[in-house]
Amino acid sequence: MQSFSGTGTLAEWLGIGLQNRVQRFESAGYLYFRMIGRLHLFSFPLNLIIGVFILYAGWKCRRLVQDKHIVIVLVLLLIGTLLEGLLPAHIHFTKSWPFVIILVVFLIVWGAGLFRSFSLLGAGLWLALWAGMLGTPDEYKASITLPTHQYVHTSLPFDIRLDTFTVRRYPTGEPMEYTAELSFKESQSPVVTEATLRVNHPVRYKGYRMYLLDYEQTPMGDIVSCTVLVTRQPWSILVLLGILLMMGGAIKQFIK
Amino acid sequence: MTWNHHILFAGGAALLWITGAVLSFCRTQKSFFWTIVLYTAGILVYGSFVAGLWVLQKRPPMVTMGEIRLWYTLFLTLAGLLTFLRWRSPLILPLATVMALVFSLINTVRPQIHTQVLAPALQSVFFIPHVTVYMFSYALLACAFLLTVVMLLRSKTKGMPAIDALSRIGFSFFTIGMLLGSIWARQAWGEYWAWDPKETWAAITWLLYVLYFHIRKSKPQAVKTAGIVFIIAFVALQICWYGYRYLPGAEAGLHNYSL
Repeated sequence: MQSFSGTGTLAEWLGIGLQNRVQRFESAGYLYFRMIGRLHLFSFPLNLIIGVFILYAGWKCRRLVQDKHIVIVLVLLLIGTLLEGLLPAHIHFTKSWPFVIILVVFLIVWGAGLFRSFSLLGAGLWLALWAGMLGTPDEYKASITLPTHQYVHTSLPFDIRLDTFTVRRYPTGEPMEYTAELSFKESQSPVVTEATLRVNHPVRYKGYRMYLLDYEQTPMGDIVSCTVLVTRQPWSILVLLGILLMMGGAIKQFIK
Repeated sequence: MTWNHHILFAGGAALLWITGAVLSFCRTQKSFFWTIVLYTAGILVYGSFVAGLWVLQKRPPMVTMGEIRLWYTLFLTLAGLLTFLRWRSPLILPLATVMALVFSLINTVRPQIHTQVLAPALQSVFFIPHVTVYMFSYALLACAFLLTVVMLLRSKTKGMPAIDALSRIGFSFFTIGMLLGSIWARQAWGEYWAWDPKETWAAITWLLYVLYFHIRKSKPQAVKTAGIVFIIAFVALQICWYGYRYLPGAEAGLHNYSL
C-alpha cells in the first residue's frame, strides 16, 4: 500500500483504539509514577492485608450504616468519576490518591451495606472494585517491540521472537486482519512454543497475556517489527468473578 | 440497499408510526388493535432497512454514528410499543414517535455515510451483543425518561409502575451491555476497565441510576427527588452515548471507530 508509508507511522487501524492505547500507556505510566508514587510498596502481601482490613471495617460498621451513608458514598464516587470525565485527559483523577481514598471509603460503607442487606449486583461491584484496586500494585505491564526473526530478551522469564507478520486486506485496501506468528523460548531451554497472535485474540503463555498493539513497515511494505503488550494481572480472576456476579444480579433484576 | 433508500423507508415508517400514535388517543378496542398493527408495521419497515443494510454491506451496521442511530430509532419504537401494550400508558407512543422521528430526521440530513469495512478491532463475538444490548437499554431508559418528565410536569404519580418497570429493565440491560464491554476490553486491550472517556461516562451514568434506585427503594415517597436524579442520569446517558466527544480529553478515546 502506497498510502501507508513507513517507519514510525502508527499504521492505520490496528484499531484506532489500540493506537491511542500506546500513547496512553506512556502518559499514564508517567502520571502513575508521579501521583501514586511507590506503588510497589503496596504489592502482595500488604495489599491483601489492606483488603482484609476493608472487609473487616465493613463488617464492624454493618449496624451503624444507614441509607444516607450509602447515598453519601455513592455521591462521593460520582464526584470522583465526574472529575475523571470532566478534567483534561492527562490529569487522570482515577489514578490519584484522592480517588483511592474515595474508593476505600466507598468499599467500607458499601461492604457494610451488603452485610446488612445482600444483593448480587452490589456484591459483584464490591468485589470488582476491591480486586481491581488492590491488584494494581501486583500488575506487570510492558509494551515490547519485536523485530522480525530475532529473539528479544527482556526481564520476562522467556524470550519472544516474531516469525512472520501478515496483513490481510479487504478489496478496498483497508485492513481485515493482522496476524503475528510468535515463538517463545525459555532462556536455557531448547524447547520452542509457537503461537498465533491476532487483534481480539490475545496469546497466553506462562501466566502472561500478550496483545497485538502495533506494527511498523518500510515504505516498500516490508514488515520491520511489531509491538506487543505483555501483561500479568494475578488478581484479574477476582475482577472477572465480580463482573460475573454483577451480570447475574442484572439478569436477576431483569427476570424479577 | 444503501443509505439513498433511507428516506423512503424512514418516510414510510414515519407515516405508519404517526398514524398509530394518533390512533392511540382513541380509547376503543378497534383503535387499540389498529394502533398496534400500524406501529408494528412501521417497525418492520424500518427494521427491513437495517436488515438490508446489514446484508448488503456484509457487516453489521453498528460502526458509524449514523448506523447506531438506526438501531436506537428501531429499539425506541419497539420499547414504546411494548410499554403501550403492557401498561397502556397514554402519551408513550406519541413521545416515542417524536423522538424516533427526530433521530431518523438527523439520519436523513446527516447520515455520516462511510463506505466502511469492519476493522480488526471490532471483529469479536462481543461486538453485536455489546452494541445491541446497549441500544435497547438506551431506548427503554428514554421511554422511562419521557414518562418521568410527564409525571414531574403534571405532579401525578400514576405513571410510576411503568417508570419503575422500564427503568429496572433498562438498567439491567445497561449493566449487561457495560459488563460485556469490559470483558471484551480485557480481550482486546488487556484491561477490564481503563477509564477511557466513554467508559468513564458509562460509570457516571451507571452510578446515577444506582443512586436513583437507592432513593426509590429507601424513600418511596420521595418521587420528585428520584425523578430529578433520573433526569440527570438521562443527561449523563446522552453524554456517554455521543456527548463525550465534545468534552476536553475525549480525542484520545479508545472508542473512536467511526472517525
